Amino acid sequence: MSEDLFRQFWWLIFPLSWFIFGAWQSWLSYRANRETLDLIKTYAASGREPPPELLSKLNKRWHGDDDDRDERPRYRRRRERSWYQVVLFGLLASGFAVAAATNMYGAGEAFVIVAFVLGALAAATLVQVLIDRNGPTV
Amino acid sequence: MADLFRDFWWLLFPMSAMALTGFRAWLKDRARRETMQALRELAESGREPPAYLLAQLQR
Repeated sequence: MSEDLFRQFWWLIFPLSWFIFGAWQSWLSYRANRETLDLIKTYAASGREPPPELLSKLNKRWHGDDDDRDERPRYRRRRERSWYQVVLFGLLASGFAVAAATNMYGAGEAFVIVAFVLGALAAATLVQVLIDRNGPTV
Repeated sequence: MADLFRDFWWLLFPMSAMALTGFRAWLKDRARRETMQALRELAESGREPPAYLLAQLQR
Protein backbone atom coordinates (compact mmCIF):
# COMPACT_ATOMS: atom_id res chain seq x y z
CA MET A 1 0.00 0.00 0.00
CA SER A 2 2.59 2.56 1.09
CA GLU A 3 4.94 1.27 -1.62
CA ASP A 4 2.27 1.87 -4.26
CA LEU A 5 1.64 5.31 -2.88
CA PHE A 6 5.34 6.11 -3.05
CA ARG A 7 5.56 4.85 -6.63
CA GLN A 8 2.70 7.12 -7.64
CA PHE A 9 3.74 10.24 -5.78
CA TRP A 10 7.54 10.11 -5.43
CA TRP A 11 7.81 13.31 -7.50
CA LEU A 12 5.97 15.19 -4.72
CA ILE A 13 9.25 15.04 -2.76
CA PHE A 14 10.62 17.81 -4.98
CA PRO A 15 7.92 20.50 -4.68
CA LEU A 16 7.37 19.72 -0.98
CA SER A 17 11.07 20.01 -0.14
CA TRP A 18 11.16 23.23 -2.13
CA PHE A 19 8.38 24.69 0.03
CA ILE A 20 9.92 23.45 3.26
CA PHE A 21 13.34 24.81 2.32
CA GLY A 22 11.82 28.15 1.31
CA ALA A 23 9.99 28.43 4.63
CA TRP A 24 13.13 27.52 6.54
CA GLN A 25 15.21 30.09 4.63
CA SER A 26 12.59 32.75 5.34
CA TRP A 27 12.68 31.90 9.03
CA LEU A 28 16.52 32.08 9.11
CA SER A 29 16.37 35.38 7.27
CA TYR A 30 13.78 36.74 9.71
CA ARG A 31 15.92 35.67 12.67
CA ALA A 32 19.01 37.29 11.14
CA ASN A 33 17.09 40.50 10.62
CA ARG A 34 15.81 40.50 14.21
CA GLU A 35 19.31 39.96 15.59
CA THR A 36 20.72 42.76 13.43
CA LEU A 37 18.02 45.09 14.74
CA ASP A 38 18.77 44.06 18.33
CA LEU A 39 22.43 44.87 17.81
CA ILE A 40 21.57 48.25 16.31
CA LYS A 41 19.40 48.91 19.38
CA THR A 42 22.42 48.13 21.58
CA TYR A 43 24.36 50.81 19.72
CA ALA A 44 21.46 53.24 19.98
CA ALA A 45 21.13 52.61 23.74
CA SER A 46 24.76 53.50 24.28
CA GLY A 47 24.34 56.60 22.09
CA ARG A 48 26.80 55.48 19.42
CA GLU A 49 26.49 55.27 15.67
CA PRO A 50 26.14 51.66 14.41
CA PRO A 51 28.72 50.58 11.81
CA PRO A 52 27.52 51.09 8.21
CA GLU A 53 28.01 47.36 7.50
CA LEU A 54 25.22 46.56 9.95
CA LEU A 55 22.85 49.01 8.28
CA SER A 56 23.71 47.71 4.84
CA LYS A 57 22.91 44.21 6.11
CA LEU A 58 19.40 45.37 6.90
CA ASN A 59 19.17 47.00 3.51
CA LYS A 60 20.18 43.74 1.88
CA ARG A 61 17.34 41.97 3.64
CA TRP A 62 14.76 44.28 2.10
CA HIS A 63 16.31 44.48 -1.34
CA GLY A 64 17.61 40.96 -1.76
CA ASP A 65 21.12 39.63 -2.21
CA ASP A 66 21.41 40.74 -5.81
CA ASP A 67 24.09 42.95 -7.09
CA ASP A 68 23.14 46.34 -5.72
CA ARG A 69 24.97 48.18 -8.48
CA ASP A 70 22.26 47.09 -10.90
CA GLU A 71 19.63 49.77 -10.59
CA ARG A 72 16.99 48.05 -12.69
CA PRO A 73 14.03 46.57 -10.86
CA ARG A 74 14.17 42.85 -10.21
CA TYR A 75 11.55 41.90 -12.82
CA ARG A 76 13.62 43.57 -15.52
CA ARG A 77 16.78 41.78 -14.45
CA ARG A 78 15.12 38.40 -14.44
CA ARG A 79 13.97 38.80 -18.01
CA GLU A 80 17.46 39.38 -19.31
CA ARG A 81 18.13 36.66 -21.83
CA SER A 82 21.27 35.55 -23.56
CA TRP A 83 22.46 33.38 -26.42
CA TYR A 84 23.43 30.82 -23.83
CA GLN A 85 19.75 30.22 -23.03
CA VAL A 86 18.79 30.14 -26.72
CA VAL A 87 21.32 27.35 -27.33
CA LEU A 88 20.38 25.52 -24.12
CA PHE A 89 16.62 25.56 -24.73
CA GLY A 90 17.11 24.85 -28.43
CA LEU A 91 19.22 21.76 -27.85
CA LEU A 92 16.94 20.49 -25.09
CA ALA A 93 13.92 20.96 -27.35
CA SER A 94 15.67 19.10 -30.18
CA GLY A 95 16.61 16.26 -27.83
CA PHE A 96 13.05 15.89 -26.62
CA ALA A 97 11.75 16.18 -30.19
CA VAL A 98 13.96 13.24 -31.18
CA ALA A 99 12.72 11.32 -28.13
CA ALA A 100 9.13 12.06 -29.18
CA ALA A 101 9.74 11.07 -32.82
CA THR A 102 11.37 7.76 -31.87
CA ASN A 103 8.78 7.08 -29.12
CA MET A 104 11.57 6.66 -26.59
CA TYR A 105 10.63 4.54 -23.50
CA GLY A 106 7.14 4.30 -25.04
CA ALA A 107 6.41 7.83 -23.83
CA GLY A 108 6.41 9.67 -27.16
CA GLU A 109 3.32 11.78 -26.35
CA ALA A 110 4.77 13.08 -23.09
CA PHE A 111 7.98 14.02 -24.87
CA VAL A 112 5.98 16.00 -27.44
CA ILE A 113 4.68 18.29 -24.69
CA VAL A 114 8.15 18.80 -23.22
CA ALA A 115 9.59 19.46 -26.69
CA PHE A 116 6.87 22.07 -27.35
CA VAL A 117 7.47 23.85 -24.05
CA LEU A 118 11.24 23.95 -24.51
CA GLY A 119 10.87 24.92 -28.18
CA ALA A 120 8.61 27.81 -27.17
CA LEU A 121 11.15 28.91 -24.56
CA ALA A 122 13.96 28.75 -27.13
CA ALA A 123 11.93 30.78 -29.66
CA ALA A 124 10.86 33.37 -27.09
CA THR A 125 14.41 33.74 -25.81
CA LEU A 126 15.70 34.12 -29.36
CA VAL A 127 13.19 36.89 -30.06
CA GLN A 128 14.09 38.65 -26.85
CA VAL A 129 17.82 38.48 -27.57
CA LEU A 130 17.28 39.80 -31.10
CA ILE A 131 15.07 42.74 -30.13
CA ASP A 132 17.05 43.71 -27.01
CA ARG A 133 17.94 47.37 -27.48
CA ASN A 134 21.24 46.95 -25.65
CA GLY A 135 22.35 44.22 -28.02
CA PRO A 136 22.63 40.53 -27.24
CA THR A 137 24.43 39.46 -24.09
CA VAL A 138 26.59 36.35 -24.31
CA MET B 1 11.52 -2.94 -0.40
CA ALA B 2 14.54 -4.06 -2.42
CA ASP B 3 12.46 -3.49 -5.56
CA LEU B 4 11.68 0.02 -4.44
CA PHE B 5 15.36 0.76 -3.91
CA ARG B 6 16.21 -0.74 -7.30
CA ASP B 7 13.68 1.56 -8.98
CA PHE B 8 14.47 4.72 -7.03
CA TRP B 9 18.17 4.52 -6.11
CA TRP B 10 18.82 7.65 -8.20
CA LEU B 11 16.62 9.66 -5.79
CA LEU B 12 19.54 9.44 -3.34
CA PHE B 13 21.42 12.01 -5.42
CA PRO B 14 18.84 14.85 -5.45
CA MET B 15 17.91 14.11 -1.84
CA SER B 16 21.55 14.26 -0.72
CA ALA B 17 21.93 17.53 -2.62
CA MET B 18 18.87 18.91 -0.78
CA ALA B 19 20.19 17.74 2.60
CA LEU B 20 23.60 19.26 1.83
CA THR B 21 22.03 22.58 0.80
CA GLY B 22 20.06 22.66 4.05
CA PHE B 23 23.15 21.80 6.09
CA ARG B 24 25.20 24.54 4.40
CA ALA B 25 22.45 27.10 5.03
CA TRP B 26 22.45 26.07 8.70
CA LEU B 27 26.26 26.36 8.95
CA LYS B 28 26.15 29.78 7.30
CA ASP B 29 23.48 30.91 9.76
CA ARG B 30 25.52 29.62 12.70
CA ALA B 31 28.62 31.51 11.51
CA ARG B 32 26.53 34.66 11.17
CA ARG B 33 25.07 34.27 14.67
CA GLU B 34 28.51 33.85 16.16
CA THR B 35 29.71 37.01 14.38
CA MET B 36 26.68 38.88 15.69
CA GLN B 37 27.36 37.60 19.20
CA ALA B 38 30.95 38.86 19.03
CA LEU B 39 29.75 42.23 17.69
CA ARG B 40 27.19 42.47 20.49
CA GLU B 41 29.80 41.78 23.17
CA LEU B 42 32.08 44.43 21.68
CA ALA B 43 29.20 46.92 21.46
CA GLU B 44 28.17 46.29 25.06
CA SER B 45 31.70 46.80 26.31
CA GLY B 46 31.84 50.06 24.33
CA ARG B 47 34.62 49.03 21.96
CA GLU B 48 34.77 49.53 18.21
CA PRO B 49 34.48 46.27 16.23
CA PRO B 50 37.50 45.35 14.07
CA ALA B 51 37.09 45.72 10.30
CA TYR B 52 37.54 42.02 9.59
CA LEU B 53 34.63 41.16 11.87
CA LEU B 54 32.37 43.60 10.04
CA ALA B 55 33.59 42.20 6.73
CA GLN B 56 32.22 38.81 7.83
CA LEU B 57 28.74 40.32 7.72
CA GLN B 58 29.03 40.98 4.00
CA ARG B 59 29.57 37.32 3.16
